[in-house]
Amino acid sequence: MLKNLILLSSLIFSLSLQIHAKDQVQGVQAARSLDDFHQLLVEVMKAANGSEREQLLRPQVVDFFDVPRISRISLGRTWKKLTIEQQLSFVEGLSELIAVTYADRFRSYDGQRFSIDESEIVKKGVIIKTTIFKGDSELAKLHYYFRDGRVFNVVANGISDLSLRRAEYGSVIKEQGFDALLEQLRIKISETRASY
Amino acid sequence: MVRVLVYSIVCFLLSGCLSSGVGDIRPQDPYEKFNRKSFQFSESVDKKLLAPVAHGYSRILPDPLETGFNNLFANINSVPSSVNGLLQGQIEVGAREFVRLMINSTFGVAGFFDVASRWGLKQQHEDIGQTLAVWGLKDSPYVYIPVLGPSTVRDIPVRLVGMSVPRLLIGEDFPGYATALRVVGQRAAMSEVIEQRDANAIDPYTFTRDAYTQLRAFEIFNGDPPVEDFFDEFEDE
Repeated sequence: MLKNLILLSSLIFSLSLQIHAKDQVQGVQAARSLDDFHQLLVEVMKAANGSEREQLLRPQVVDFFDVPRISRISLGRTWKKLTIEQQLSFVEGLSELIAVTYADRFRSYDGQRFSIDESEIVKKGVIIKTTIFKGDSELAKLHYYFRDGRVFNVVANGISDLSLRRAEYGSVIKEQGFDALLEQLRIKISETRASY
Repeated sequence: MVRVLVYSIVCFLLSGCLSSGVGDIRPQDPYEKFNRKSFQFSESVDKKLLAPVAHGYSRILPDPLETGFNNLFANINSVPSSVNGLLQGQIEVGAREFVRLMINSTFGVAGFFDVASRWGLKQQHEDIGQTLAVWGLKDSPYVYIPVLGPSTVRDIPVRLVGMSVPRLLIGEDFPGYATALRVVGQRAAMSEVIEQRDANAIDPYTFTRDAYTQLRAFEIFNGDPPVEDFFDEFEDE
């Protein structure tokens, strides 16, 4: 009886160690992925023009951000009512929008640097907490939410990108429908490119 | 100082009939029809009047002077900030804001220079709206005040206190043009944020409303608000 109890305790202990180790590996991988993305942003900021910035970003956006999941969550119940073609169009449009937004926002290198402060294992994902600095001044706190190795949400000083998207897209769909939202995305992409 | 305390208590009593608080960070918007019209009107006033004036202000005024004027008003705000820190039971915050006020008012030439920050005493903004939220009142409906901008019913006293504090502290000698300078300075400080919003938002009204609500939660919880993490959304997969 005692022998069985010891065996069972050892099994539970070793399983929990494995889970803990797996979580730690997840955290380390997420931090590494984020570090790579930060280095890419510095490269982007040093690029000659907006088109070049966008070209650097486009392939990495798809790898770094889980755009299908972002699309599904931000569209809420509407997602299940869409055809496969509509879903694909939206994902494609959102990928492009994310790339041009970053290309527009990270225009010039002025000594910005990123620091990874902490990683937190939560439920089935990881939150990596970072700070962006310019010189000694702290510009913003950015928290990246990872699931399955890719980012699905960024919270900047308490403001959640995914929450904002869900609220906005829901509002447009309610008033004007899904096709109008898709059209607005395309207009936003063109306007952002025009302002490079 | 005594007048500010009295005024704060009056604002609290006036807002005591409001149901307001922290609760859910998703905004309640029962007045959406009015709010959208108020937003559109305010955007029109901003584009035609405030934004061009603020742009000119930033272009003409050298950066150190612009920063100095912003510091002056931030220093005056240290008084309600300190009082509200104490009312929330944040003794350290209340004391730090008071010490910042003393340092900046003396070594900082009436607050023109933010000497306290350079000495490691970071500013932490507290206001009557945050105090009411910490005191645990229920969620507050969102309201867009014409020209003044986004708020909740709970946060309306913040605007009243903010407008009145300089005159309460300094008295009748507080020049009228200083209020205009303050408004223009605040608008100039917001220029980049508003540009980013206009560049990125598909529905600027909803964007402003939700961003404001989340930012207030960030302030109320001193930088550690409850954030909807969306991990539960993955349970459907």
